[in-house]
Order: sequence, then C-alpha cells, then structure tokens
Amino acid sequence: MILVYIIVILLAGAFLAWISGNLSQVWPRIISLITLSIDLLLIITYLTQPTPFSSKWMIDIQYDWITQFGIGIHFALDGLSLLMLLLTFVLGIISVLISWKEINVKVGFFHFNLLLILAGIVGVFLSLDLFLFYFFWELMLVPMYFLIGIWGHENRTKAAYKFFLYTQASGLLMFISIIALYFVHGNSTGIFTFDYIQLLGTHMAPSTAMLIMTGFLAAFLVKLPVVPLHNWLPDAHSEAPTAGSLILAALLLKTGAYGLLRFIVPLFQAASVTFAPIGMALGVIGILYGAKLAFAQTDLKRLIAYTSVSHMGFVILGIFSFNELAYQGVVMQMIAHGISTGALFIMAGQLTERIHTRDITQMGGLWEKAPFMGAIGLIFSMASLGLPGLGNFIAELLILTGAFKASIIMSVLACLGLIAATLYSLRIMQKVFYGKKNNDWKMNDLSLREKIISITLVIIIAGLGFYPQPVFDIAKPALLKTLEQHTDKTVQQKEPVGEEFKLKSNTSLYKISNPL
Amino acid sequence: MNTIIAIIPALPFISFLILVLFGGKLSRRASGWIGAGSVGIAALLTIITGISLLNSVTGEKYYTIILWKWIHAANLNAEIAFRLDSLSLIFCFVITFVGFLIHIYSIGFMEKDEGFTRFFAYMNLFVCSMLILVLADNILLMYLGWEGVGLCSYLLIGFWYKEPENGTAARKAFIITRIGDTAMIIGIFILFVSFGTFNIQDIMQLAQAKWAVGSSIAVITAALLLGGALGKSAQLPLQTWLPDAMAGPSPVSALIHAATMVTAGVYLIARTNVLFSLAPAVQTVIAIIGALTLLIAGFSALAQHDLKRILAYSTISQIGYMFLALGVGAYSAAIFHFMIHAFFKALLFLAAGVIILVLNEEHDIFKMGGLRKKMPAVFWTFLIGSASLSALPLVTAGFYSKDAILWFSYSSINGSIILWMAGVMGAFLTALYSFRMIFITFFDKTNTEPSFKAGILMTAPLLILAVLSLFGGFVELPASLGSVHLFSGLVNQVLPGVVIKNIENMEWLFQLISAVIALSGIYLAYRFYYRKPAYMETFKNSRLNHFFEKGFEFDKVYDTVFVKPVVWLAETDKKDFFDQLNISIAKLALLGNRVMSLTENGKLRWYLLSFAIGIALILTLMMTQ
Amino acid sequence: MLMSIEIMFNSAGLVFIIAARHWDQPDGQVMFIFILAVTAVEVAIGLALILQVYHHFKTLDVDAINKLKDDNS
Repeated sequence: MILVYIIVILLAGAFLAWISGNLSQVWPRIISLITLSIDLLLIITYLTQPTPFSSKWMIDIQYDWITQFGIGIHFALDGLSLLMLLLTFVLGIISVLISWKEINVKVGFFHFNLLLILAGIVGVFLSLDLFLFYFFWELMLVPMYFLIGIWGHENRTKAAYKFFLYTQASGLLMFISIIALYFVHGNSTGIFTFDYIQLLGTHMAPSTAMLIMTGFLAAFLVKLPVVPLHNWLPDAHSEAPTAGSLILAALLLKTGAYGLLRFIVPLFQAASVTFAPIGMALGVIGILYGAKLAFAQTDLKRLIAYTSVSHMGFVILGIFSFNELAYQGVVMQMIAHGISTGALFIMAGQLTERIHTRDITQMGGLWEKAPFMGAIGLIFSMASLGLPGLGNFIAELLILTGAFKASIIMSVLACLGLIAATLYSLRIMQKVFYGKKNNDWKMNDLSLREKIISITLVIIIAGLGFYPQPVFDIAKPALLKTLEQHTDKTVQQKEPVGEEFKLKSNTSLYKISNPL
Repeated sequence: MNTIIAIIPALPFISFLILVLFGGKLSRRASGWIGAGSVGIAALLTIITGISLLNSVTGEKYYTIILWKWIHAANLNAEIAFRLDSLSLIFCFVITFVGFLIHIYSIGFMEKDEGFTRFFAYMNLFVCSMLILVLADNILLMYLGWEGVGLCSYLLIGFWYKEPENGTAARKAFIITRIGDTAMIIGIFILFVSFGTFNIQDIMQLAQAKWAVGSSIAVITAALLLGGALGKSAQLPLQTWLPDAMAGPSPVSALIHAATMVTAGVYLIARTNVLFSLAPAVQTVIAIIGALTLLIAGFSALAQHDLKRILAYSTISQIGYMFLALGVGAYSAAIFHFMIHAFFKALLFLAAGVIILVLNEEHDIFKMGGLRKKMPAVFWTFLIGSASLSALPLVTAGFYSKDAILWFSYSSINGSIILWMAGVMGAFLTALYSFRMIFITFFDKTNTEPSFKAGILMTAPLLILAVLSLFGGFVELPASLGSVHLFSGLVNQVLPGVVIKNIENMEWLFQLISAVIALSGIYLAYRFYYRKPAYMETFKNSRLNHFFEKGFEFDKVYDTVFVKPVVWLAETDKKDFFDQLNISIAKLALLGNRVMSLTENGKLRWYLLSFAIGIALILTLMMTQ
Repeated sequence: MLMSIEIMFNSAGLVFIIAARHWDQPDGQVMFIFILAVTAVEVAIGLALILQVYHHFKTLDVDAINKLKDDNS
C-alpha cells in the first residue's frame, strides 16, 4: 500500500500547492517541501531492509483495474527502483529549494507541475503493468512542457514544442509496441494481459520480437538520449528554468535507462542480443559526439546539456554489455550523473540569476568574486571528467570494465571519451571562473540556502566516490534478477496457440483470434 | 606500526580539509604552519616507520593495512589499502621530507600572495595524493593517486588564474597527462580481465606464472602502462607540457615538476617491473625513449633564456636518465638517481624562485647577472646544486647516481655502447647548460638589482638541500671507490638487481671518461659563456638555436596534427547536423502545408470544379467495380 | 454564373423530355415542370444572395470572395 500512498501524497500535494498559490507565494514552496520530505522518509525506511533474492521484489502490490482488457494496477519495488526513488525525492527537494527565489510568477501552478512530474517519474519507476507504465510515462510529459514553456528563457516555446513532439511521438511508438505485445502474448497463450510478470518470456518469432522491441527502443532511446535522437535535449535543458533542467537531467533521462533495464533486457531475450552491437556502437558515438559538441558551445547550459548526452552514452554501452559488472556501473552512473550534472545545472542557474547571461564568452575570472561557487564548479567539473574519488569514476570504471568483457574495441573507443571529457570540463572552468574578467559584474557569492544545497551534493558525490558499496549491495539482487530473466530459457517453452499467419512482408504474426 | 602508514597520507588530507573549510578564518601564519606542519609530521612518521622497517628481523619487510572495502561489485574487488615496502619508503621519504622543506620555503615565498591559504590547501592535497600513489596496495588506488596529482598539478600550475596563459599551460598539462592516463586505464582493464584482481602483488605473481615472455598480451599491457608513465613523467612524445608548466609558482615547480609527480612514471615502471621483464621489447623501448629524451631535452635546455625553462628541460633530461636505467634493468640506479635528483633539482628550483622573486619577477637570465656578490647564499647553494646536476666527480651526490646509470647503460646485459654514448653526450650537455646558467646569472655585471634580501624561511631549506646534494650520495658507492651498497641493498629487497656482463673490472675506465666529460663541459661553459667570444652571439641568433629553443618544434607539430583539427571539428558542427536533419522534417511538414493550402484558395469556382471532378470519379469507380 | 445554372437546368429538362418521348412515359414531362419550379425558386434565392454579396464586397467577381482562403505566410 505504501507505494500507492507515495504517489497519492504527491498528487494531493500538487493540488494543494496550486490552490495555495492564490494565498501567497511562500505556501506552495513549503507544501511541496513537506510533501517530498514525507515521501522521502517513507522510502528511507526500506533502505535497511535486505532484499531476499528468492522473493525478488521488496514490495509487490496488485489490484484489478480494467479487467476486460487485462489492465491492472501493479506496483513493485526492488533495489533498482528503490535507488531511483531515493534519487527522485532527494533531487525533488533540492529542485524546490533552488526555485525558492527564482520562480516568482504563478508559483502555485509551478509547484503543481513540479509535483506532477515527480509523480509521473515515481509511477514510471514503480509500475509493472505496461498500460499503467505508459500512463505515467505520458504523465511526465505535459507538466514538463508547461514548465519549460511558461517559466523558461528566451527560446522556451520552441524548446518546449521540440521536447513534447520528440517524447510524445516516441511514446506513441512504444504504445503501439505495448499493444502488439499484448496481442502476441494473448494469441500464444490465450491470456490477454498487460502485466509485466506474465508477459515475461512471451514466445515471439524473431522478426516480431525485433519489431516490438524497436517500438520500445524508440521511446527509451529518445529519453536517454541517444544520438541521433538527442536533439530535444540541448534546447530543453538550456531553455528550462533551473529546477526544470535539474529534473530533466537528473531524473527524466534516467527513466529511459530504467526502461531499458526493466523492459528491453528481460522481455526481448534474443532480440536485445541481436541489437547489442548497434546499441554499444550508438553508445560510443554518443560519448564522443556529445563531448565534441559540448566542447564547442558558448551557452553554458547547452554545454552542460551535451555533457549529459556524452555521459548517457556510457549507460547504453553498459546496458548492452549484459554482465553484472556493467549493470552495477550503469546504476552508479545513473545516480552519480544525476548528482553531478544536476549540481552543474544548479551552478549555471545560480550564475544566470546573478549575471543574467549564459554566454561563457562574456564570463571569466569569476573565482575572484565567488570563490565558493568556483570551488563547487571545480568539484563537479572534476566529477564530470571522471576524477577518481568522486562517484562518476566508479561508474565509468565499472561500465568500461564490463564493456571490456563484452567488446574490447567498443570499450577502448569509449576510453577516448575520457580525454574528450577533460576537454569540455576544463573549458567550463577556464571560461567561467579563470582567466581575465570580461565584464565586471557586481555579484554575491552563494547564499546560505545555496551553500547548503551545494555542500549536500558534494558530500553525496564524494561519498559515492569513496564508499559506493551500499549502492551496489542494494542494486545487486535486482540486477541479478534482470540478468536471470534475460537468459532464462525455460520460459521460452510455452507452445503457441493458433496457426502461423504470414504477412505479405514475410513477417510472422500469430493469427489474431477474438480478443474479447 | 601498520596503522602509522595510514596516518602518513591522512595528515596532509586533514590539513587540506581544515584549510578549505576554515581557511578564511585562520591567520596566514596559522594556515601556513598547519599546511607545512602536517607534511612535517608526516615526514617524521615516515622516518620512524623507515627505521622500524630497516630494523625488523622478520622475513617479509613490509607493512600493510586495509582501511575499508572500497568497491565490491560482481567480481571486482578493490579496497582502500596501503602497503609500505622499501621502494615506497624511499619515495615517501622524498615526498614528505623534501615536501616539508618546500612547504617551509613557501611560507616565505607566498607571503604577499592573496591566495596564500588556497595554495597550501592545494599543496597538501597534492602531497596526500602522491603518498596514496606510492603507498597504494592495488593498482586502482594507485590510479586514484595518479589522477589526484594530475588534478593538483592543474590547479597549481594555473594558481595565478587571472592570467589566461597560466590557465592554458595548466590545461595543456592536464590534457596531455590524461592521454597517458587513458592508455594506463586500458592497461589496468586488461590486467583485471586477465587476472581478476587489482592487487599489485597478486598481479605480479599471476603475470609471472601465466604470461609467456614476449607474448603479445604482455607487450600490449606493458606498452599501455608505459604510455601512462610517459605522460606523467614528461618523456617523449608527451613531454611538451612540462616547460609550459613553469607558469606556476616556483615551489610548485620544485615539488611537483621536479621531485615528485614527474617521477610517478618511474615509480609505476619500478613497481610493475615483472610486466616489463615479460615484455623485453617494451623495456628496450623504455631505454631508447630515455636516451632520446635526455638528448633532446639537453639540447633544448642549452638554448633557453628563461631560468625556469632551463631547469624544466633539465628535469625532462634527468628523468630520461631514470628511464634509461629502468630500460636496461638497473632499477636501484634509477631510484637512487630519483632521490638525488629530487634533492638538487628542488634546490635549484627553490633558489631560482628566490632569484625571480627578489628581482621582481624577472625570468630572463640575460637580464640578470652579477648576483654572485649580491646574493651569496643563493649563489653558493645554486652552485652546489648545479655541480651535483653536472655530476662533478667525487664530491657531489649527483656523480655517484648518474655514474651508476652510465655504467649500467653499458654493462647491463640489456645495455649497449650506443646507450652509453647517448648518456655521456647528455652528461656533457648537462654540464654545459648548467654552468651556462651559473655564468650568465651570477657573473659579469648586474643588469637587475635585487630588491630585498630573502628571509630565513626561504634560505634554510636551500642550505639543507645543498648539504644533501653533496653528501646524499655516500650511501651508494661503486665498487671502484669503496663499494658501499646501503641504498641498493634496501631497494633490492623489492626490485630485481641488475644483471651485468662480465666486465666489472672496467668500471673505473668508464668513470674516468664520464668525469673527464663533465669537467670538459664545465670548462667549455666557461669559455663560451664567461669569456663570451663573438661566435656565441652569432650562434644565439642562428636557426639551430631557435630550433633548440622551441624544444625541437614538438609544440608546432602537435598543434598542427592534433589541436587544430580537433578545434576545427568541434567548430564546424557546432549546430549539430542531426539537428538540421530533424529540423528538415519539420520544414517538410511546413512545405506540405504550403502545398496543400494552395487548394484552399477561397475561390468558389475552384471548389465547385473539384466537387464535380470528385463526383465524376466516384461515379466512374462505382460503375466499374 | 446564374445563366449557366439556367442552361444546365434547361438541358437537364430537355434530356428528361427526350427520354420520356423515347420510352413513351409522361413522367419526363412531369419532371420538367418540377425543374421549372425549382429553377424559379433557385433564381429568387440566388438573386437575393447576389444582392447581399454585392452589398458586402461591392463587386460581383466570384474570385474576389475568398475570405476562406488559407492565409499562411
């Protein structure tokens, strides 16, 4: 029940925030803070509980919803989702804190949208019913569109449209795949259901599996993002308000990675292996191309946005390596990247609040005016380039070692990304904080609220760098389970019901009998 | 005793934290003494541990401690664990002791600088990282220290961040060393995937057992690790960052770019020597690279006119000697030269720092001169340092260390006469450029007047290092001069001894030749740079001199081949052509709209006509189906 | 335009008469009378519409009445 409560609390908080926005500007912020803190406390209680491997899920609840179509409400928590929820709530609280002074118009509506997005994200991480999953996937979309479109910067309309169109279109492709999977499973076993657990091990012809997987992949690759479907990201990230950028970079991108781990790898056992070389190649291209683009930007937030593309390339490289080591690295990268890139966006936001420009050719020598901000920028630039002692190094190390076992050439090419990362990270430091002052702004160093946020993030990233073991322990059962589902051959033996029916394109599709 | 080895790197780290968190509230004196004091106590602890290690009677002479489990994912295990054996001990001693002297010096040197506390914070972080590097039990922790020193080097080179050139030099250093680091991490992957462990001792044992001598996997791994060493130690072809790194304050140049960080490569190769003995081809390459580097750097040093750049090229050259020694298998000679070099090079850099500070930031030696009478303490210590650098026979420590390398470069079974000749040529060049430095800076008339006298904080370390540069060599005397083997005995507990050909009785001949060469170099320096005949002036303006001064134009080559193409590549696609692809889809949709809207032109007759045509078509279809 | 509509109706009526004559049915002539009635009504309404159009657009040029045009720039 607690899983339902988490989402309900978020939704309730969202409506309360909207309404209280009419009273004053402070109430929505406080309400959001309280809502998220309650949820964080609820979920922390599960940190200490070990996941028994045999029962596979820490919590598993199921209700009937629309039984004629086999749709139910099925939420479940395992180590992977737990870590993602923790990340969501911590960064959610931080996003409320950083918009404290930044958002002054329609504050109630802003926090309404913020909490709705977080509710959507939490739902995505918890849903095990495919229809419900799609519901929450789309729920993340519209409030984010509003967030970018209303409170963003100059080009916000175009950025919001682009974000919406890319994500919606790919989401629809995923929906078609979900329905196709529903029918394929129904025809082969006679049970028509959207439930994930029952859909595992559906017997599909290889070409069918490939087609259905492509639909899912479309949505996750756009979200992740993977070159060449990444173009929404720079615009959305740079035009969004700071809280929007933070949630986009730190959380929304991880839903793509989560989808790959939770759905693609276990559901499409053979097809994902066939796709793996392409997947790894896309990852390497993403790492290098993203870094190259980041290096050339003059807009600070756009630069950081492209570094996200680069870091997520490591994620997809790791996922298609299909070994536990790489997967632990993927989980760590999801968390560490969320923290480090989030912190960089926060820094960019704080800077923009003070000097009202994102153009790094106008900045320079700002360490003198704001040494604390400079030090934070230094720490997170170093995290971005994978300096040992901070969380990103652990993540990249595990992914590269895991990928090395799967494909030496891909791993070696990805290592070039380490050099490329150095180029853009040092560019951030040099152009913003070091060098000659291009403009003599009067600016304050970080306020107490901002300092607390930054120091919290530094402690987390350094902690992950030196003591990552808790993350690995929590994630281990979940990842082993994913790999087991991926290689499980026994489930393949379900006999197909109904005759084979060949389409003109020579695709094999099972004959559709009456679903109702 | 085991816990003490964990305290040694912890002290500078705690000091770093204190300075970062409370630096704004502490007085300058306090932060300076906290910074220096932590390194000093670490030095004391190192000495205590060292004495205990030397006196221990049990078989295995090392101390270990495991602090906590760092990573334990899948089958990848790494702990934060330290191991002190004799090799680490020597390095720790140099790092902490020379480091302590440099920190004391810095209290005086950075007195007037506004970033005083920041400086000591970075320096302490550096000392901590370097200690982690040499104390690490597993290669992953060593990599952490490796990258940590790279970071601190970047921060300290660019310490005076307001000048963009310092930032450029800092970035150059970081990027070039990162290229080496990437090669090294790939080598670490190969080791892990082959042996399933990161622990250095285990890897060495397993490699010895499982890999055949000369097998391709051993060669590739050794070559990759060598890549990392070349980057950090500024050897060919990754040596271009070190001369530019002189943009940092002189104590930084002394500590990082002379005594410690640049010798990390030497440590790596010594520590993983089993791998290199399994790949003789790579070991030969090390020797060749060492020989070439020492020659190229030697020639380049001859043409510089910036005091610190001469010393920078000199450092590259001397590390070339260490690589030469490693390449022929003379490990103890390489480590011995490392220690002695740390002493005299730190001395030279610190003295140069005093000169530059006192002359109001004048770096050009041709604008100095006549400082012999004006700054006697600096002069005499600088002279001792240069003499040690030139390996002045018998009296200086440098003679014993460099001579050992020269001897082994011929007498080792991996050595050859060519390597020896390169080494001797290099020794000649060393003497030549060192005394060129002395004559031009300290003799003749004064061009720039010293503005103040350096205090005791800066002078005392110079004196201590001078003493070490003279007498530090007496722990290791060659057979012909007394055969003292204290040092090599210590090192050979951990590293293999050098195997030499059967020509031991000829050693005195080679020593004589190198002594003569050194003295003749000094004499020629006197002729060229003190007497200053006319042809020196023409040489100074010649193309060859210019070529030497630019470091054999490596910078230009790298700029054309690497830097400009990468920048061009980044700039051309700035708008991301994939974006254009996707925008063109949007444009296509707009185009479609425009085409379709032609049919909606508001003309009544047009609509009627289309009705009529439509009806006709439908009727025809209906009738023919 | 109204004239062409007249011609069309009359020609349709002619076709009906001829067909009636061909198959000896009186229905064709009945249709023709219907058509005459319809034509009369249509002319009345049409003229009224034309008056309104002229009142609004000040011209009888059909091409000028293009307010429903898709005006994208």
